Amino acid sequence: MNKYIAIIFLFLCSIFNLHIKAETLRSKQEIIIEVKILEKISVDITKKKPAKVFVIGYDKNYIKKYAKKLIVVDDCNKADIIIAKEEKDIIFSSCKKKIPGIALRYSLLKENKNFIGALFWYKGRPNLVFVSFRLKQFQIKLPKSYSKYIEEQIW
Amino acid sequence: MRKIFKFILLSGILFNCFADESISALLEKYEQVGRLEYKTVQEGEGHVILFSKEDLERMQAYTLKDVLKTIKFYHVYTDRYGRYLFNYSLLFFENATTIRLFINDHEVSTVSTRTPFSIWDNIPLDNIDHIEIYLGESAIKFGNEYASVLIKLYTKDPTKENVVYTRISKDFKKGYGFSIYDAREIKNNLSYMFMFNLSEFDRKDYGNLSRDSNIRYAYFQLNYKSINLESGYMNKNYDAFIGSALDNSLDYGKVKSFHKYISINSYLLDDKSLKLTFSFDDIKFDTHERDNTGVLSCIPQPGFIFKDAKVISKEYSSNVFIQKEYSFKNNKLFISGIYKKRGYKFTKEGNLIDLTPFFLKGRAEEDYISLLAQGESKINNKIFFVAGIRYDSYQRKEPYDDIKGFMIKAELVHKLPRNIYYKIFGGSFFVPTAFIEVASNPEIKIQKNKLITFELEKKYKKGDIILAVGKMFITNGIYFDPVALKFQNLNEDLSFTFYSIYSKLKISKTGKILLDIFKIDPNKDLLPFSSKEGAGFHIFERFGKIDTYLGIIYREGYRFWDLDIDDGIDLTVAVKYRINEKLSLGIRGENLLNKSLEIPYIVGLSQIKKYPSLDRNIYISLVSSF
Repeated sequence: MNKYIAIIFLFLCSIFNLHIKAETLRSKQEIIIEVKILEKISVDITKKKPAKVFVIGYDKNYIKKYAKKLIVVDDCNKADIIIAKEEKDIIFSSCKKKIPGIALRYSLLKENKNFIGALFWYKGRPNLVFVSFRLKQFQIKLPKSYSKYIEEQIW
Repeated sequence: MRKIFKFILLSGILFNCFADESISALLEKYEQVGRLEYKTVQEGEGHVILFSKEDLERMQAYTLKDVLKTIKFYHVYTDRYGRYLFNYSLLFFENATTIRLFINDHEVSTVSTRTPFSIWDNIPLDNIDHIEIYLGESAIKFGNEYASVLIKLYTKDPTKENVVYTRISKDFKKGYGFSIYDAREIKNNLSYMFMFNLSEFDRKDYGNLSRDSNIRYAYFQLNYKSINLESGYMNKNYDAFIGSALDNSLDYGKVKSFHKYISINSYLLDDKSLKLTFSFDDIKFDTHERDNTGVLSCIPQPGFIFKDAKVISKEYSSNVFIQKEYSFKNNKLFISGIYKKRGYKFTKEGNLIDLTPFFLKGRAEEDYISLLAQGESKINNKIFFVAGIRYDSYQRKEPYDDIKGFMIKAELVHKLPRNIYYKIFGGSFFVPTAFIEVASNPEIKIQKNKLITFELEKKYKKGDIILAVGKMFITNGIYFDPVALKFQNLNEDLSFTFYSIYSKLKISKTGKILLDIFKIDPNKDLLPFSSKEGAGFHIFERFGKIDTYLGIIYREGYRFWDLDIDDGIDLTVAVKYRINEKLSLGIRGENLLNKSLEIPYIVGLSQIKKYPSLDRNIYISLVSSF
């Protein structure tokens, strides 16, 4: 009997969850600060205000709502920087110009050489990492305040 | 009170975000607001003691007992079956029926004895993010039944872990522990955690009395969007220590037990205001005791004498919990409903004679229904008010009687100038009888409690100090009578006043001192069963790559009939060296002075023996994460 109740429950949850927005379980404060960090990094990398960002696998509305110095673009060729949470190599390869990317998952940094750095959670703490040789490839010089986040190699 | 602090802190954080801040300051704030306790702590549910992830790491608290022994007003002790129990200092229960333990949103508790500790006393904490302990009966909205203390273990958020963690521990006896967990976000909105632990607890033997135990624990969690699936399995096998032997030397005693559960919950609306949870528990005890002078029975005892007793207890619980929160500008209304169907069945093997009128006959079921409404109102920037009412109904089959009743509570928090706060709490509660209590004494009545507390808090730049005083009135107090070997009601009303001082002082950027002192003053010395005074002193500090912790827990001695119990002092020291980001080596000494509080046991028909609640032991642990 309990198994049937569980199955019905799962079915109902699945139906209801179809319309639940992504990432609803994170707090608003957390999302705001995350966007502020992405905004600061993007501006410091591109030296542009506002910087044009192309977003992959991340909610564009967060950036539109909470980042005043960023403009979300729908064509990667118009972007100054890419922010990505998902691996979609085809998007990078379809861009005519080589655009630096910020990964929101560390594995992306390993997998795609267009990412110059990553903002990610590890052991319950946020981490920010930039890879020095990738920065050189893109001829990017970060302010001194970033020096402790620059590493020589990818783990 | 902390809700107001939290509001001020978050407002400050958000305001500062719009200033042109350094990247390191932003990351620090990102970590602060991403912490799980910001989302989980419910200040309206009473006095909360919070153990953060950093606290647990520095204390090297790898099992639940390591944390619970530090809680003011309470003490951890070992029961007749060698299991760690946790109970109010004034009282010595053979069972702890009013302590509720949750792993995230799921309560783990037996059905017949209504206690989590017979199986979960040594649950490993490797995958636990933080622990919230709600003291003082006021926690009513977690889907819990009456709780004198409610313990919530929150697992780490897999989306913020992305790690494989291992721990290998070895003590100076024959005990060891091994834990591994993998927790990560696989893709957007899909994450999981898997944890496994294998532990052997080798405790000091007294003659042929042993309280060694071993556990195998597995935990799984899968999160997809707002659906959360969790499952836990705890298998615990242990020596029965004194058990139910009529003399002080049980010839043979083994208990094999497991508890497995599955829980599924989901938010059904975008604003996370409606949550539905379904869960199922399956529990089994297999107890075998043998003694030439006689065994009173198994799984605690209404008294009949057998020399060889083997009893199997199977228990189940099916649970549905629905909760809805309505949010207005300055007010919140929380309503919830719980339905649980649960029961147990005892079967006996061998030559046990069915002398017990109904305990060993052993089958019982109940339908538990609970309805709750609780309002939270921010009257202005300085006054916060909470009021709640709950109706509980237990419909039980013969020979158990139905139980129905209301619980009410109200709380006011007022902020005064100079960072001074006061909190007044009042409530009226009833304590439902557990099956074990009715089985041992069919005449037992429901216990009724009334509680009033007053707290005054002064917050400084480097910490805070809290003074608390309260009074509890108990009618029909239920206690375990160690002479009659059954649960009884107190013939007289009991009341006691309790006082505590708590202080937290930040001594450096990475260090803090915690101090607590408490005293309980009962109107009558009806229950000379445990300490009435105690204190705790804890210091945490980091020196470069070395994390240190020192804790001293004091519990006053007392006289148990004609036996003197000395003052108990438990000194714990933990030092951890972080070799690099991925590897650390720790050493932890527990009860180093070998003076932990002793616990009296009535053995035979009139003999009283005492044994230490904790052993002296040293643990070495190697922790890696990759």
